Amino acid sequence: MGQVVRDKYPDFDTFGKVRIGGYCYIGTGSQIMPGVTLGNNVLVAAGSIVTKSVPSGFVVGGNPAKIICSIDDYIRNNIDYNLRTKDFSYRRKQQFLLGLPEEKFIRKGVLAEQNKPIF
Amino acid sequence: MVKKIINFLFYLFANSETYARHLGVKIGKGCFIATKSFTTEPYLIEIGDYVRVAPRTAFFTHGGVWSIRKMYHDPNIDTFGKISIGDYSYIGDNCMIMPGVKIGKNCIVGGGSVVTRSVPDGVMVAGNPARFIGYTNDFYERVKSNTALCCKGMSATEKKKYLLSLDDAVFSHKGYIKLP
Repeated sequence: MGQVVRDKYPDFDTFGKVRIGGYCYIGTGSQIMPGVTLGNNVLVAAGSIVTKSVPSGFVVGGNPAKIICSIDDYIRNNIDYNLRTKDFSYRRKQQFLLGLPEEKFIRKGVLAEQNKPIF
Repeated sequence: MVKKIINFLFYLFANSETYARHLGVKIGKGCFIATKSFTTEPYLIEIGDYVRVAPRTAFFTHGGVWSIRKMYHDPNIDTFGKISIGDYSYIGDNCMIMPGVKIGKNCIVGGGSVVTRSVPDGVMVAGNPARFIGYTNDFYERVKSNTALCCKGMSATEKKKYLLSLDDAVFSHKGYIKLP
């Protein structure tokens, strides 16, 4: 991002190191900005723009990325949906999943409608 | 292995909708699907009639537990969520639809949105995470009133000539962003 000030300071150049701890999961399409350190055991939700460092054991998401919950909360919220299909073949998994009732799948709540449309 | 090669050939040569149907995505009639980014469980995705899905939109029916499997020495942990999209809904470019999301009928999802909640009928959402931004009906009323921009049956050349001849005021304009 030095380009924007290089008419005044032609040699302007900045860098930031990115550090990612152990057992982290970074979802599809996320962007990690310069200088960001992720602790151990951090989950970055898909499409997040991570502009701040994240301490160990948290789930972050959004643009800019905000803390959503702790990893322990994440596991607590999802453990009922654990289907243990990891060593199934593709076909067996398909038959197993399609035969399950709706309650076994994650279902997202409905998003809140604010009073005033912003667009 | 043979199945993988056939899938890859479909990916390369079939149009997006044919590819999606080949994978097992349930798709209604009259849709316009332009993405080829479905998950490893495409059979958990259901799309209604007259739905438009723009390019580079990705569907996710699982995710987030890869590292948790290692951390907690629990290699079998696995969760899934079904995705459904109602009739007459429009999903913009580059969106991500998360597991368990149900998008209603007549919804608009703005480009680049990450949809992490279900969307009720007739609502427009956008952003990351996707938030409520308005009602599809209001959008329709506003667009309908601006008849100067109707160029739907024109050829590309006619359209260019027509649009460039118009006054700036008839185009849609975005206001400035809020300063701190």
